[in-house]
Amino acid sequence: MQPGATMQYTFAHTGAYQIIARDGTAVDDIIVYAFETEDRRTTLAALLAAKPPPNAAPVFTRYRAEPAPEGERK
Amino acid sequence: MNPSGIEDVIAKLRRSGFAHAEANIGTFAVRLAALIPQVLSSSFADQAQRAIDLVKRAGQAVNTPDLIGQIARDVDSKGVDIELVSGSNPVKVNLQPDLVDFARGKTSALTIGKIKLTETITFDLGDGIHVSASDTSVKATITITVTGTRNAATGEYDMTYGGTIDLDVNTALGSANG
Repeated sequence: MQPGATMQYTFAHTGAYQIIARDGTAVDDIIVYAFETEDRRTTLAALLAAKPPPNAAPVFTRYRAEPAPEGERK
Repeated sequence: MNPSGIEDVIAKLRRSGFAHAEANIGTFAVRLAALIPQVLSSSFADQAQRAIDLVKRAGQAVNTPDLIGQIARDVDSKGVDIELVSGSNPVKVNLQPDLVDFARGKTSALTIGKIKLTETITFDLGDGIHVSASDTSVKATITITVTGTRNAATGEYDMTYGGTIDLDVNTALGSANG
């Protein structure tokens, strides 16, 4: 089995990111939400106390064929 | 959102859920006794009252474990699932925080729009409900579901209730579940 394409992405700040993948005429995307917690852990308390992102996210143009999960339809 | 605020809301939902279950068990016992009086022993009302008292005591003893340290597992659009262990009964809690709006910078503070709490209480023979004198074993399992939906205007949580009462009765004549 041949390995698929790989990618690396570094988040410069917290907030919402759109990552778009293109292969010929095919295109798909995902929205990633990055949170910063005080102690870098994922406890519930840390998540509830996460810092707000420095900037508001833009309105993204979606490329996915299937409907987005309910939480992304806002 | 302040974790201690969520602890307070969960404790309030649990107390309210137990109080609601307590009232419903009483109604359930009265209806059951009216439907099948020939099966029920004369002491059924007393025994049902014992179950009501048990739920009442459990409701008074409610405490909510510290949320610090609870891993926020399965964070997705359905919310955050956590399991609290308080006494012998685990409590499942699903929190639906507005993570998307928060991450998009639409809101400056993370809020929890909905809390769904599910708790199961099982009574053993010693403390349970005896439906008739020939019962060899009786188990009553009560599931309490309380959903708190945040009212944006007041910041308070409006509650709705659900739940089931399952009786598992084994008698000298056979067994029944319902």
